[in-house]
Amino acid sequence: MAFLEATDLLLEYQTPRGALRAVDHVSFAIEEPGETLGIIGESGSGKTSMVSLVTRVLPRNTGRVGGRIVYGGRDLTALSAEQYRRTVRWSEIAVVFQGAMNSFNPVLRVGPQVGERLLLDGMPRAKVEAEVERLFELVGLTAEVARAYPHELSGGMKQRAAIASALSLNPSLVILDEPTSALDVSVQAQIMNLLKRLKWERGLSYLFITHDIALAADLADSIAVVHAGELREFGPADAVLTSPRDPYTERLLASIPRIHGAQRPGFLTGAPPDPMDRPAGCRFRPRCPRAFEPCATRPPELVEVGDRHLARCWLYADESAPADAREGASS
Amino acid sequence: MSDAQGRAANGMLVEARELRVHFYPRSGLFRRSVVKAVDGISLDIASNEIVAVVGESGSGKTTLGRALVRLVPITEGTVSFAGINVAGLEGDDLKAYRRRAQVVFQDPYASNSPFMTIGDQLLEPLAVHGIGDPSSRREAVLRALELVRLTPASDVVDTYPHTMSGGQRQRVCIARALMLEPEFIVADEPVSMIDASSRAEILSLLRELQERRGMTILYITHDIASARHFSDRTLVMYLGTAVEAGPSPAVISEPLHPYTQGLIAAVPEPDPANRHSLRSVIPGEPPNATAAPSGCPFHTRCPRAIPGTCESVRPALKEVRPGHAVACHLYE
Repeated sequence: MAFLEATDLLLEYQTPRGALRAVDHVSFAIEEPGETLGIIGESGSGKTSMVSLVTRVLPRNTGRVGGRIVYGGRDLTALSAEQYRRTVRWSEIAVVFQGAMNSFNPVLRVGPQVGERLLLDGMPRAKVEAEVERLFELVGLTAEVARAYPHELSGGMKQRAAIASALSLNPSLVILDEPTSALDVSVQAQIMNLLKRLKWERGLSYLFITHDIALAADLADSIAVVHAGELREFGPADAVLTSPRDPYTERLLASIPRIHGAQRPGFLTGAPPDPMDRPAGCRFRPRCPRAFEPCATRPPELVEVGDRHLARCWLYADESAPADAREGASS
Repeated sequence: MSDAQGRAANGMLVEARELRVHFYPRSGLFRRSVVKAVDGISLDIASNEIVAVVGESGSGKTTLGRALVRLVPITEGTVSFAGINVAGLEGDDLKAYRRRAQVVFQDPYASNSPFMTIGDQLLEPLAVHGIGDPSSRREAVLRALELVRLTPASDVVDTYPHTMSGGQRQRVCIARALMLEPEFIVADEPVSMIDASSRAEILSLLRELQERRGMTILYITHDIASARHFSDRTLVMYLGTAVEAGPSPAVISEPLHPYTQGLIAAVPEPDPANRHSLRSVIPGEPPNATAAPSGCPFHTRCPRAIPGTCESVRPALKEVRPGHAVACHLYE
């Protein structure tokens, strides 16, 4: 049984224009503890919504919810909100939110804010301070930083403190939602190194959400590419990054400016479709350089394109697919 | 001295010499301190060239860009634009300069009015500068929208920004900067708020404006990999000073300064092998600009600092290869 298995997830938001389907029958898995799944997509692709079903942090206007999430053999979807809070949140599954560095209360010192969760968990007050220092050391911060106020810390230090906070109850799975998007490149590289070390040394698993497929390569063992609420491609990082099958993944990879080589990066034209008015057939078709006849009318299913490697594209599922197009997508 | 096209005799459109922009905060934590945002930068930008200014937050890259178009006062040094002394411009002369030098700001979500149609936003600069009549202005708006590929332009003029993606909004900002047909555009982190997959589209557009319309562009970015592909020359800044400058392919393929080397090592690349090894990183974070270190401003983070030299003597920017200059004691 997989460490984390999400099957057929569905999430709709209620909007004045009707039900908006942010997550449309998505399945993904982390096979073994200690492995990381990167979830990649543009803004509006539904990647954060997908993960909010795992963290159970859903906005007020949530409508229909469906699917099953099994973590370490337990069906999380069968737990009440209270059971989830007591037995899963932070102690098993923790989150580092996008902009977590700005989630500290500005009038309280940083250390006690991290320690609050330990207190709530029942740790005696006398032990909390030492435990916070240990957590801070783990993420490369001194005890002095724990006594500082948030405004006295740099962005990188605050992000480290947010990671320390997420680790406070010793979770096995940490969800990282764009954890470095507000940081400078040199600090981003430091935080990625820290996350890697924690993964190796503590056997942590991550669900790593990002719009930057290059950054995902730093952590992800497998990769899920999402677009318009659907999974486009899912497979081992080595396969997805080196021989992408879906034209969307291919375009995402081609848009990364490379340091080496003079090849100018490409780009995706347009934006993901309006979720209230998605195209018939393939949802990527209006932006796809390889669209052909069936794409306009029939929605493609996920098909196996390699070992544990799935793609949602007619190039691999339709007899009439031009052979050269197929070659192009895999080159 | 300038010719009919407004070029200085030596082909340089913008020439900054020993430019300094210092801020003196009057209140708060840093009272009585000086923020030396730009501290002695000399930079030439040739006509029809894209120069990238690369640096992290606090490097002074934004202030440098703003000083060149006089959005901030110049403390010391000179900026000449086609022979005009930019530092001394006032009143009508400054307004006239604004027609020739425009800015595209970082945040396309904050730099469009949500209450004005796209068309009205683009008309505004023409109205402010009293250019054209209503029908020629409308023509100009449609032309600008076509140029940035927001089409069909006749539909786009009547829409509001909230219906647009970040990339589309940024193209509106570029179109607005183009309305006055400037010679020079300062593009300040024009793609940092946009999805990685759409960035190259905006940058290709800037490249096209330079190639086809002969524009001169200062491209300010923290993304050194994009500078490799979308600029002719690159200036790397750290704490208000220039640490390296040269042709972009040379600076990025053969970086000389340890800071530039560190920035390049930090660029993520989609190689699945990367997850098995740590990245070599520049330790620490840039010091506060009110307390810039003595000597070389980078010595506190530099893996190759020379004890006894780097903390006391500030290295000068010196050409060590043709057109490629570095401010580092390792090359003296």
